Amino acid sequence: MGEPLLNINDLKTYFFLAEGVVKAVDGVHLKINRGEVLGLVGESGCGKSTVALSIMKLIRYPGRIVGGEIWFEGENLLDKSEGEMRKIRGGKISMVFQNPTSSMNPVFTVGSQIAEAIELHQDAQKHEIEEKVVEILGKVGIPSPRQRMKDYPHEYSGGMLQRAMIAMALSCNAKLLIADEPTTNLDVTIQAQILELMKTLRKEFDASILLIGHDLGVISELCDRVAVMYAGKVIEHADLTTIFKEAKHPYTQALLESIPRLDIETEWLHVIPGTVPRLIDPPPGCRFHPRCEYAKGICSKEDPPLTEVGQLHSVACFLYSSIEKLNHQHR
Amino acid sequence: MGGRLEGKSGKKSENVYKPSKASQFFIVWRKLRRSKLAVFGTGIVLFMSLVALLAPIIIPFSPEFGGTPLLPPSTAHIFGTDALGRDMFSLVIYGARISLYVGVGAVSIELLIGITVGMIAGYSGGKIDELLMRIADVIFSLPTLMLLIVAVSMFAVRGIQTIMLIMGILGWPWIARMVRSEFLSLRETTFVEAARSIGASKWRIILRHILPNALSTIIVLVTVEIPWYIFYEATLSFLGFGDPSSPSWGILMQRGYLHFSSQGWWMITFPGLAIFFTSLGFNLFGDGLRDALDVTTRGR
Amino acid sequence: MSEKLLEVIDLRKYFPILGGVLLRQVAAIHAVDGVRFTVKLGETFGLVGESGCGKTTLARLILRLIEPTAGVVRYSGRDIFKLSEKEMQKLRLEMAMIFQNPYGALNPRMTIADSVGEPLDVHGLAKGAEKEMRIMELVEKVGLAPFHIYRYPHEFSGGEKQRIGIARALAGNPKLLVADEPVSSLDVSVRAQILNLLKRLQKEFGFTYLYISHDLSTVKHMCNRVAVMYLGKLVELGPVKDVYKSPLHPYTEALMSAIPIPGRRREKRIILKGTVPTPIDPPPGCRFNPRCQFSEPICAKDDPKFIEVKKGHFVACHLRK
Repeated sequence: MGEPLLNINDLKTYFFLAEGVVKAVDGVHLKINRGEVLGLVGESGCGKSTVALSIMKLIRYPGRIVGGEIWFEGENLLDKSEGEMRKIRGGKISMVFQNPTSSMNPVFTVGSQIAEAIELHQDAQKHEIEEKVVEILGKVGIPSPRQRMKDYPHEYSGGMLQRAMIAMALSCNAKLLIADEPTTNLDVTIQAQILELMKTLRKEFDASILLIGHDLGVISELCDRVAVMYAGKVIEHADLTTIFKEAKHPYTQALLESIPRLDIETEWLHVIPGTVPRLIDPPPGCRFHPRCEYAKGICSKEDPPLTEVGQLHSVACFLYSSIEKLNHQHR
Repeated sequence: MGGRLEGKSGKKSENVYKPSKASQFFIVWRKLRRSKLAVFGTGIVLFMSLVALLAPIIIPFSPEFGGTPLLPPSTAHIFGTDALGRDMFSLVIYGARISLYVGVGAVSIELLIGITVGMIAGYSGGKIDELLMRIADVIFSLPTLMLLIVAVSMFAVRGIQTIMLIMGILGWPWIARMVRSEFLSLRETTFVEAARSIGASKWRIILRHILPNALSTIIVLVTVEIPWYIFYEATLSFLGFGDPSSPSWGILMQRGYLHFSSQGWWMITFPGLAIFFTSLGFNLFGDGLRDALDVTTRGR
Repeated sequence: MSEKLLEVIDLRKYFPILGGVLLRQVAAIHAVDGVRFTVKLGETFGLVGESGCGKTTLARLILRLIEPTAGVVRYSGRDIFKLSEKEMQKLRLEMAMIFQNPYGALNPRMTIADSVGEPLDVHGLAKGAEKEMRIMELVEKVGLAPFHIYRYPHEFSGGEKQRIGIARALAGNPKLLVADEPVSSLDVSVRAQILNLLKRLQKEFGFTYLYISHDLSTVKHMCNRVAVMYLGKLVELGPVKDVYKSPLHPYTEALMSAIPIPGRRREKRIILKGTVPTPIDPPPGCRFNPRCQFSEPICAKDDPKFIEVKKGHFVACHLRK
């Protein structure tokens, strides 16, 4: 296995607003190994997109990375200058966003936009670039790539445009692909196509993927390991089967029980009472404690650190061992 | 199978948080207060309005008072006197009354016509919309100032009311267009569709759903149009097509220019500054008001 | 034998595409192209399909928010398209809609009380103190505190706004509730709350639901029977257990295998080629033919009929008879 490709240590990204400080990411620890797919799961507002933007150092005013380290290939990205980051963005680390139609410039052809990315990161002649564009569009499954590269984004369907985005992201030998909800806006059958594509490409390019989303099913299709985020922190971190079969954090468990499943039949879904806290004023101690059915005294006073409880399984909860017993009674 | 929801559960109305209409006004006021520029603008607007209203009471000298002509600003005459010895300060104060009257009057007329037309065009769509917009286009393409000059020259009597009326009649297409586009976009919202699914009539939807949401745009439009019309009237008067019997700021500037532009700088400068400050005030007020009327921002 | 609340017979809606200088009709979008199904009293009927299949247009036709090009919609035996304005008005009390986007579904300048009470106003059902009490009751029924009814929508969260939308839908004591993707815009943990609420309300008041969604897991959880829609037509219809366990239509099969299941990786997934074609002037034959892996020559020529293959299980396919 060796060194992890990406190692995020105690990342803190805050947004300084007139009303107060929004602690969007408040001490996040993540690791991605080479060739691995890590899923980052959480509801809206939990900070997962902010983590992605922090890795790319794309956080703008009024936000700022205020602490922590992001180690990529042995170097701390937070020490790098903007010029150095620009070389990395789109090259070694590239990103695919949720809405492909707004990620592409509507007045340039798809081919020219991919070519631009290649131009910025690689030394190649014009005709070489064109060949690369055709090749990469073909790899992502765009039919007749030589013709289609001359088309404009609006002439592509949603699914095809997302493929083109993935092509652009991989065109410069990315080592790490960050995909922020890449299939959320797509139909189920198109989503299946894109996920299959990502599986194939991952093997072919030997790239690591950070897959961000809220759909646990999508995460299951692609990911080796999963990190669950809540209110700016990672509260559980384990490999795929462990997360689903042996989740130890009450939030993870509750989340799994609250979604309707094709394979499990229940009459009533488990409801997590209350709402996601506002990050300007997070609750003291464990951020989940106001909504947690097992909360005890210590939970409102101290913030549980991410503790290793098994092989590659970490949980941020003081009560995980006692909860396990309670859970077995539940079923 | 099935219960009904009756209103007889005996709940008391006192258990409800019910903000009064007055407190809603205060929320808007508090939000307005947040921006210093907006407060400044509001101040000017209020000040000018008061001046205009109280003009006959507060002027130190009667506008007809004939004293020593062409006196520069002094302690007795803060803005100096004009060619006929009239106190400039009193004239400028009185001018506020005229100029604001024209501005507000013209805007009222154009709003009346413009909102009605825009509302009908925006909601009805189809042929009615086409027809109304074509009429608006025609009027829109006419050169207002030219027309004003022609119109004013045609009428034997040059009344300030006529000027106001013509400006309003020529100005409604722009308002209609704004209102229409607001209506078009609001018409497609989900809450309008929800209202239709409940069975609300066309008029109920227009008056209860669309208009209140278009209102904030309209109010801001108003605040920006008023100084525009003051300016228009001033231009007209400056060119000599105004109504000399109603001494607005524009008339004052014209006199100042015609008679003694080099010998009496105060005769043209002070009315000019008055127009400038009023425009500035209304624009800043309008900007602040737009933000303050936004229901989605919190008033703290 | 359950009573039929809603009968949709050969419903069609074509949107004309105008072109040329004189704006003549050059083509048409076949949004809904001959749909036939019934909804029984008290059941939850699911309608699934991907974007562009016409399910939202179908919902609007059923509520008569738009007029059909052809076809009949019978509500309690009466053809709603033949009713007068007045009669339709009365009927609107019995049919209510829950919208997808809770943020847009409430007028931002109206208080919650005004929004929820609007059906009462429009139909003159209650006034003054009685109206206020009914509004408070409704708001409580959906799980919100009546204390806040004079607040504005932006002061509430997405889940709470959706509850308010449901309260408004209940105000007229409806019999049929059309829910158009009611939880798609909500956070995962909030969805459970709303879905449970809808079930609870049905148990208490005996509503009939027409549940429209693209999320197959939710539809399986909520519905008794389900219809699958593709490009304006129904391709399969039947009890949820049957359709999900043994789908008959190739499209349904592909849909079922495309749904990702949490915790598991699917081995044998049917991945469809291509994308959904446009519903503009569709070619003859089966609509699904271009993407179907079982395609035969007949599929390009004849449009398959929607027939009952097993008890209560309908399918439109030449090869599954």
